Amino acid sequence: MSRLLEVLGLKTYFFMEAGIGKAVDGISFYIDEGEVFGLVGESGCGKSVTALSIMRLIPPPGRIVEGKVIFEGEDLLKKTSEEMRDIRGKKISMIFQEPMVALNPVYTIGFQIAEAIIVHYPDVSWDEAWERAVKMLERVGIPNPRRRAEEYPYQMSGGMRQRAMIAMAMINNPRLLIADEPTTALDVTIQAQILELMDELKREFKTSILFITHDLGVIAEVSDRVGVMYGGKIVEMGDVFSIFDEPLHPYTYGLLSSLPKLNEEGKNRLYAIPGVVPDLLAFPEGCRFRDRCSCAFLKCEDDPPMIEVKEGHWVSCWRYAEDV
Amino acid sequence: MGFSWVLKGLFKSPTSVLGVCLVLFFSIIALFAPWIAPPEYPDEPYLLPKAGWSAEPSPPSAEHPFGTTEGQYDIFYGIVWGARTAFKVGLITVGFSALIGIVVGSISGYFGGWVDEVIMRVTDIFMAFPFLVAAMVLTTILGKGLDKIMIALITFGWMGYARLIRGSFLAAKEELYVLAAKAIGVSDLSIIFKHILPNTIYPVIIQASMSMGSMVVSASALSFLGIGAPEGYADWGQMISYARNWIVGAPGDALKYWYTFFYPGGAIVLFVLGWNLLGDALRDILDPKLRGPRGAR
Ligand SMILES: Nc1ncnc2c1ncn2[C@@H]1O[C@H](COP(=O)(O)OP(=O)(O)O)[C@@H](O)[C@H]1O
Ligand code: SF4
Ligand SMILES: [Mg+2]
Repeated sequence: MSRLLEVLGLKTYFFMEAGIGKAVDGISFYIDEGEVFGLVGESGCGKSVTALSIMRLIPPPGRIVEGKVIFEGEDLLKKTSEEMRDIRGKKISMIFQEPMVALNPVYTIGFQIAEAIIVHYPDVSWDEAWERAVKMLERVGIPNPRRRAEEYPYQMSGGMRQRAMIAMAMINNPRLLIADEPTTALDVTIQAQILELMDELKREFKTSILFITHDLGVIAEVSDRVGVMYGGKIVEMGDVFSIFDEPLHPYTYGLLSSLPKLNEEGKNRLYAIPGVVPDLLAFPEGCRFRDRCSCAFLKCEDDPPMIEVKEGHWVSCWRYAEDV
Repeated sequence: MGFSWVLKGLFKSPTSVLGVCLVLFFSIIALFAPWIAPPEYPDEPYLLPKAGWSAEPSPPSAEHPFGTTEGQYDIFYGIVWGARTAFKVGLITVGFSALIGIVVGSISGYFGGWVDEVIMRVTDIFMAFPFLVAAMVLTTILGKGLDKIMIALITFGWMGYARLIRGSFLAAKEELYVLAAKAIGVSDLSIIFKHILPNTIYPVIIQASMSMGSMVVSASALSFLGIGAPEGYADWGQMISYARNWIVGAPGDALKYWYTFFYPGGAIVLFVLGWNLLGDALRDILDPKLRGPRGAR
């Protein structure tokens, strides 16, 4: 498998009056072709900022301050804004958490999908773009696609809208799909249908997926490899089996123990990681998880290195450093 | 959102019906002016026909249903063709002010940062001038004439729209559909005018309707002051200025020349009233705050 995307030492900071919010602070990961990489972590840990950094759509006062985003061998951070615009929606597309508000209320579904074609292929006629939009709607499982293409977003349910968003994202057959909590706002049955659809499309279109969620259950189901994020850093990364069977980072155990099904012996009470995620400006020096970690020791006041404990299984924690 | 749904809304309250009727009434008069009051000089239909050379107005008669004003200009003719002038002045000044305001305001709000800073400071400078005085001075500099009035009114009339649209854009650019459009590679210009503008245009339509009346009053005021329409031109403001010497009436009969100011004054009042009521009605129908966010369209 060849490498499609490689993020290297990415730092995205928000420069606010109260201070610098280090939303993403030096993360590295890669996604191979045809692979699903799951990025998991509590709300506010920097998952969306990571996604938007790859798309180069960070709003002010945010800025990518360091790092590389190598896509198909080229650094996206070195591209001009025109080149980036050409990549978005054609080579990399994105779907969002709230399908209810991610579509423009004044245009029909068909219009918005056809526009996604025309933006990148201005020579395609409107009628042909419309036809392709209808076909794509059919492909993503929207019944009566010809009629539904003429409908406005408010006429559709959340699940239908997310299907429409997926149709829009996949219409130009992108290499990479970034799915930022695509199922979080949907109810459980719809959630399962959408996951299944994404899995089918991934096979059919051979698209790699960066799948972002705070839900470990979903991650286990969809991803090949997983990165666990905490406070703007990836604290553990490995294939899905290593992460679930032999979690190394204290934060990863914490997350796993709070999953209902892994907690049978704990009676009815779910384990919760003590403390709360601090404000972005209030993380401790050194290991950012330090004040919530039950294993913390003196060394943890320094930044822990990323250690490859087993081939392909990385962890950022002093407990695994050889020489302490 | 449907057009029929706006129409239905317009016929809900008696005041909005009145507004619609008044605007419709003046539209019909303006549209059918050549049939309602056939011009005496077809090449220059806006020139008021003169019924003689005496200065003193003469009261309504069979020949001059609204009477004649100072200089023997026919009042009925002036009202009818003045409606055309009013629409012309109103639509052009409001149209261009809104257009300038929309372009300036949307760019300012969308891009933010120093672009916004510069544009808003310029807007502030324009707003620092008292509207009517500034328009008067500019008209005087440009020279007398209706077109000069319109240029002056547009020059000092776009800022309100710019601020309105800028405010809407500041909020709208944070919407997820904007991010989603960027994520499929849509260009900034297309996002501004194709994606955000249709979602933020309603307040401008309301504002434009409201200011149709006030722009026409301002233009009339300038004409009244003698720097607008040329002598003898069918313009309500000018017709009021012809009534200036006769408003006090004659000794013992204060209302002797009532027709000289009653008709043009009434026309202006009803015209303004109509547009304001229409604007109010449109606000009730279109204002998202009054119907809840993202209400069914
Ligand atoms: N526009 C912004 N301005 C300031 N801070 C932001 C902005 N967007 C995100 N952040 C901060 O970046 C951090 C990561 O946010 P995000 O990536 O959205 O988290 P999540 O993992 O839930 O997707 C949060 O602490 C948030 O406060
Ligand atoms: S580095 Fe220290 S504080 Fe951080 S997770 Fe490891 S043991 Fe806990
Ligand atoms: Mg998020």
